[in-house]
Amino acid sequence: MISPEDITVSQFKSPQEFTGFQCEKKDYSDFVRNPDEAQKYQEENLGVTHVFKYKGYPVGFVTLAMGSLRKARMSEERQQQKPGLRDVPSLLLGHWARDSRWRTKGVGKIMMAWVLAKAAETGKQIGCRYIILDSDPEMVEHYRKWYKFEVIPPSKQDRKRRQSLMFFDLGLRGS
Amino acid sequence: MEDRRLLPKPIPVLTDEQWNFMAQRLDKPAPPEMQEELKQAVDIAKRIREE
Repeated sequence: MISPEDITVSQFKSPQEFTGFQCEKKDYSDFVRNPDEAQKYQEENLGVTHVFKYKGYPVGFVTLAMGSLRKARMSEERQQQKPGLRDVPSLLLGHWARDSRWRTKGVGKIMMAWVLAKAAETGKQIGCRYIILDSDPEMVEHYRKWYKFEVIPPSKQDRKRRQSLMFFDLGLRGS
Repeated sequence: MEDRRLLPKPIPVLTDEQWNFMAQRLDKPAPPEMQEELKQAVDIAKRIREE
């Protein structure tokens, strides 16, 4: 198992950092290797990718962005009849991958710990109630078991797109 | 807007049922298991070096 003291985290600098990076889903390794994806996304400040390294070698990354849980749109008329909260500030855990050769070494636990702590810290300065991720069906149990995320009951649309929205509740201030 | 593969995708809007599920939690503390997970996470995160 890797100790957190052996891990450094820094912001994504370039696709060259990920030469040799391997993960189960090619889309994810493409995301950091392709200059039109993580790099461009970060340049535009639409999401920041954080790279976790062990002895200088990238073993995983996460991409974070501001987000919000929003209620489906209502007509102007209905909004006036039913005013109230329609948006809950949340952190979007967009991309999440670790090098497949580092499986079962505790890298995921360290990465998620950093994300949860970062969200909690951010939430003290800027309102942030939930961390949201959009999970592949086969990963739902993993996120639930290891990181205590819960599933938002799926809509018809979620079932159709075969994804599960999951959340982690950062709780009340001071609790 | 050009067509890009850029991810992460935005969070889908919630249906009334989903919204009610999430909104009803707002005035309550996080579940104990999440509070415990967060506490452990903060302890672990302090040991990670940020560059």
